[in-house]
Amino acid sequence: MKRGWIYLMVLSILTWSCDTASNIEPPDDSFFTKFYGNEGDQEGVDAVVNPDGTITLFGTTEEVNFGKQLYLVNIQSNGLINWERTYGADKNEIAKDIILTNDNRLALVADIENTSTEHDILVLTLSLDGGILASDTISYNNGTSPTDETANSITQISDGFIVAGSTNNLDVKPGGASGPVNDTRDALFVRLFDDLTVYPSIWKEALGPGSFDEAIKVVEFSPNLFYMFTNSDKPNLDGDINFNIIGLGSTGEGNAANDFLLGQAGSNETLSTVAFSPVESGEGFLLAGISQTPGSSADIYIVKLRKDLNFNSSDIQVQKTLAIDLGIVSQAKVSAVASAGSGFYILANDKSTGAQNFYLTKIDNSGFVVWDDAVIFGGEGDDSIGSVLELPDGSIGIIGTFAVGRDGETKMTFIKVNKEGKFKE
Amino acid sequence: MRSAIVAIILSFFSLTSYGQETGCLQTLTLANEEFNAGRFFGIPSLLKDCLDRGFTNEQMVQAYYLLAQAYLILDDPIAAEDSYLKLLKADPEFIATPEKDPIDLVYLSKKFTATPIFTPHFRAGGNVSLVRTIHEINTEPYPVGRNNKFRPGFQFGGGIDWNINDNLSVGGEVLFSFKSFKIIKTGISLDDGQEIIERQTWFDVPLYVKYRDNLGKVRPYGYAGVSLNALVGSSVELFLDNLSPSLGSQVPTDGPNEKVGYKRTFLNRSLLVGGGVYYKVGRNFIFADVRYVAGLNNLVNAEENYQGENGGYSQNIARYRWIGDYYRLDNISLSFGFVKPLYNPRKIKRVNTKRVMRDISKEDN
Repeated sequence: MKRGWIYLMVLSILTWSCDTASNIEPPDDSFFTKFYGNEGDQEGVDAVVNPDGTITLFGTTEEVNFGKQLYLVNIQSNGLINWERTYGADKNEIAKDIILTNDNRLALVADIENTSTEHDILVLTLSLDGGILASDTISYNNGTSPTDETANSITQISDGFIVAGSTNNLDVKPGGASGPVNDTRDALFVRLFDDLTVYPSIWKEALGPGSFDEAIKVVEFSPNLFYMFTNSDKPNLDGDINFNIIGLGSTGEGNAANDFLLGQAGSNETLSTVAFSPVESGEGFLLAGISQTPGSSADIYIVKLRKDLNFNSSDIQVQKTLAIDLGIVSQAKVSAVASAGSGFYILANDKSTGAQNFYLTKIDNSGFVVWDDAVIFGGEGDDSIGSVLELPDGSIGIIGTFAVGRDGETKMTFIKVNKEGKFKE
Repeated sequence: MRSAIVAIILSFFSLTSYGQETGCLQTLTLANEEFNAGRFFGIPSLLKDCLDRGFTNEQMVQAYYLLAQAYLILDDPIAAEDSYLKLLKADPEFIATPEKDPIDLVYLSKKFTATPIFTPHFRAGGNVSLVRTIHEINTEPYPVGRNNKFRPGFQFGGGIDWNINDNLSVGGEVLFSFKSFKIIKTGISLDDGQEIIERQTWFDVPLYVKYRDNLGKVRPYGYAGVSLNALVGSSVELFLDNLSPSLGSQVPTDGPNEKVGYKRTFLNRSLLVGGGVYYKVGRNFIFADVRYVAGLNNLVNAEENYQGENGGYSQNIARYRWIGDYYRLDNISLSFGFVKPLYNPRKIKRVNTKRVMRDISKEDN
């Protein structure tokens, strides 16, 4: 009886205890939405998790008299800023991709906007505190006229980096301008040494089997074989844009045998991202992009390929659309990352309900959607995704851009949610 | 003619009443003289008529006081008790003390109490709320300036005290209260500002133990207890001011009140402490009360904090840069009220006369 009273008293005391910061975990440790940047517009494009658990966000910030500058923000796992830095000159810089190298440096690529139709590519390697280690600018001329080069990604290889992108300089590719009729753009894959000096000219830097080609990513399989993932409108699959996987030799030269198209006839399949699929999810690559017939709603299109490519249909493990109505998005973009547990997180721009928002879902290793409902993030303005990443604690990190307030000033945005995409622990 | 008749009738009754009153006053004076002269036997019959229909309430008190003493002297304790009980019915606030009353009457008084078992009251007043932030939950990845502002609220309701004895009681109330507070944030994206006004409707059920003085016209009291608080409604008014000094622009974002009750914990708990003074008015009291209520639990429903009313991602995050801090809410209120004691003169079962002895000893010292 006496013990019962003691239990009752203890229970009462516990029931009436006070909620304080010491007995409620800070929710920001587990989930948050944070906006980065001061006055003006900022955009978020990509992010990497550093060895110390901090996260480096990459994007742009617009400053008066300087236009768009590259904007790097290092944050703690709870979203608070450790440091922030800007990079760039008096021209607009457009952030594209950032990676963490295997020797713990940051490597990033951006476009330098000389005019609205003519860009160069800026490559930087940085220490983890943002200090510049090396830089290079990739640009070409057609005679004396500068041509337009834009980047999509940077990938570390055994002796340096490969920057993937595209150029309207049709003379860079082997054979020069002898491409298809109405050729407008070739895939660009510039190889750089570790100190960002350009590889000898033995390396072929461009390829253009279609009238429109752009390289999304180049991966080194072996010193003599590189996989290049591109968008191309080269013939077959009805000549619209499709995923194109090309094997490049040790000099960067492609050949017809190592080349195959993935897509659907009658619609454009535009590759956005190439994610590595770990062993537990079936080692290989997950290619994610948008499938869209011009003027109609976009859908997410995924292709899962095995690691050792034969460059034919035997490589395909999964190839499907996810049957998602994303609306008619102005910026058709998809980001994907493998989950350490299993499956892949897929992030896309979604404009099915008016304003453009973030659309997050998860698929299993067979490409089937796992979550009953996708998770939508965003406001009344048009928001745009950057990329999705899995954080060391298993939670999901999303970087992108939110339009904030009545005037729609844009802010670099980082969202951290649990592995179900919820603002819960 | 008719009015003249009415006037005559009214005059008759007035004179009759006056005559009766004057006569009973004389009777009471006579009864006192008889008592002082030691002639106790005739006092009850002398007072009977006036007790039945003639005394004012004050005279009635004096008459029963006299009778109770007389019966004690006449060794008729039953009649004495009956007279004392009637005295208490006429004046429930009467308390016999060794200082001013005969000791045998003081002893007799200890067999009785007029303390109300229940004392209902009504109250109304104003309040201000203090936000106690547990964790700041916002879109800012850096510290920002923050200023919590008071906003006036009000409350009204009623309650009842269960009186354990003359001084100690256990009370409970049912209150409707309207509370509000304002938070001003500065330094968002360096120059931007944000204002949040939250308005809440509460249904409070405080329970407390009260100690009060039971003598005099002004009676201070104090209490402490706990409270269950139902947050039945909550809305926010949000404002974001986007300032760009280098561009010389200022773009405000505002909008209508938004219901955020779904983001709040419905049932909450708090501790309370308070005090005030009763002021006696006739048999009743008016009072002024100051109360501090310390909220114990986080008012934010963490599951819903990032969600809009439709269950999706809250539009207020992008529109106003607002998510909502985790917080408790304290409240200070000033109330004025009216107390109507439900007096219940009665004989008590256990008589404690030790206190009388103590009081007499004190007096002697």
